[in-house]
Amino acid sequence: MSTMDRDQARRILITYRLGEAAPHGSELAEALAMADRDPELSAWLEAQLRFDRTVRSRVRSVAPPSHLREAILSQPPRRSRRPRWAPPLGWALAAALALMSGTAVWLSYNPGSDGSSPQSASGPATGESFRKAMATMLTDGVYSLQVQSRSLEELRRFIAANGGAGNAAIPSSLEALNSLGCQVFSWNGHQATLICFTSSTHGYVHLVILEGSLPDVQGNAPVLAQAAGWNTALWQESGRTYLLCARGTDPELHTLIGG
Amino acid sequence: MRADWKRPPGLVMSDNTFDMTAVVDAHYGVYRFALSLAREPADAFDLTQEAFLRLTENGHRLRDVRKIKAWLLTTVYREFLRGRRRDARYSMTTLEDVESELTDVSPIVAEQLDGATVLQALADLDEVFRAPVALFYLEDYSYAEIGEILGIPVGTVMSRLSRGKARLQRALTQLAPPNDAPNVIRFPSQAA
Repeated sequence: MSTMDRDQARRILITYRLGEAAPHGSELAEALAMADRDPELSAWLEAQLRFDRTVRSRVRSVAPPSHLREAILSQPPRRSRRPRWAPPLGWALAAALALMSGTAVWLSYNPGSDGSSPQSASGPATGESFRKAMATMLTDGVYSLQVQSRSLEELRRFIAANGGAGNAAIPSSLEALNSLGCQVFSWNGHQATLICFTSSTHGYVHLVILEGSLPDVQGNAPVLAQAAGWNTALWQESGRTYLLCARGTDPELHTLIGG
Repeated sequence: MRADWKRPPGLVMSDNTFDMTAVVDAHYGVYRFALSLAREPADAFDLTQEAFLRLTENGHRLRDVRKIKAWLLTTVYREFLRGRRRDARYSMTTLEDVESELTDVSPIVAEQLDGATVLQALADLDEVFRAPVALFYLEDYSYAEIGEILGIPVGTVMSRLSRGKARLQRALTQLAPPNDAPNVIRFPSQAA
């Protein structure tokens, strides 16, 4: 039996966001259940949510000063310092040795490993397992770009020289973005290439190209789905499987693909 | 600006530098958070610039590009607090001073006001409430993430948020035209 009164429920619900998880048995779940039963509390909650929506849209509509962007970009660094990731040679060697020994230990526990990414599927490789594995990899940040360049051509040369899809059919809308870098790796026995772009609209946009077809990916029409917080599009073309991961709506994703 | 300064943070690359143009384009909206804290546009401008400057100096510690915005927000907040500590007029309202502040709200109150007015009302909140409420409305972070950015426990976030939001509602109600707030939802026990 509930021991919560209206005031207690309101204290809990005032910070409630629509769609927020309310684990079974939690105070939030109890307060929401109470709102379901109590028309006045329900009306109060609806008023709160409407207020939140309005305030959110109002404050987000405030535009930063037009000259702020240029002011930030034109300010010189105060001082030059050696990045922490560029350690003295001795440290770098020690780190390399540690990495090699760590890899050796990892391989010894994974005798069947072919050096694939950690997201290799345990079952048969499918389009959906590819989609999920790559999106998770991007969300978890467990990738490391091997080279960085704002020149896509430069990245293509690196990819081709390293056995990746250097001549991949990259949608023209993506080619128009700033490239960031790339990585060539292996996924479930397939050679894979990750190319990262930046977009002022979408933030970071990632394209993964897998050499070969996957059984459940049919035709060239992109199939959109959410995966690990990304909106993704999966399609096949000329014996390769393509996966685009970006933040944005379905229409925005179609625009990126050029559809 | 040094050429090698323009590279993405968080990604360890061949020349270890940032793509600041992309980072600024994606995140200079943190200005809104700075404005909600500092109130004065000039101060918010300075806070935002300072945060990005610190990113160029220290952003190489970031290994996860998803954390850039949170890092900038944290820096804005810390810089704001640092500046306030230097200010002799600084005083903080403690939560113990705050009585129960749950209010009734007219859903149309905020709809009558423009963004600048609403943001100004947010900026006028007591300092303890201002940052959590600003992050609640300006960003889509979870309460845990807001706590991480502000360096306070989740329970404190929730407490400050509920009280801060109630105060914001009260402030906006006072700002709205008096004849246009008929839809207040009241409980029978509170009705006049």
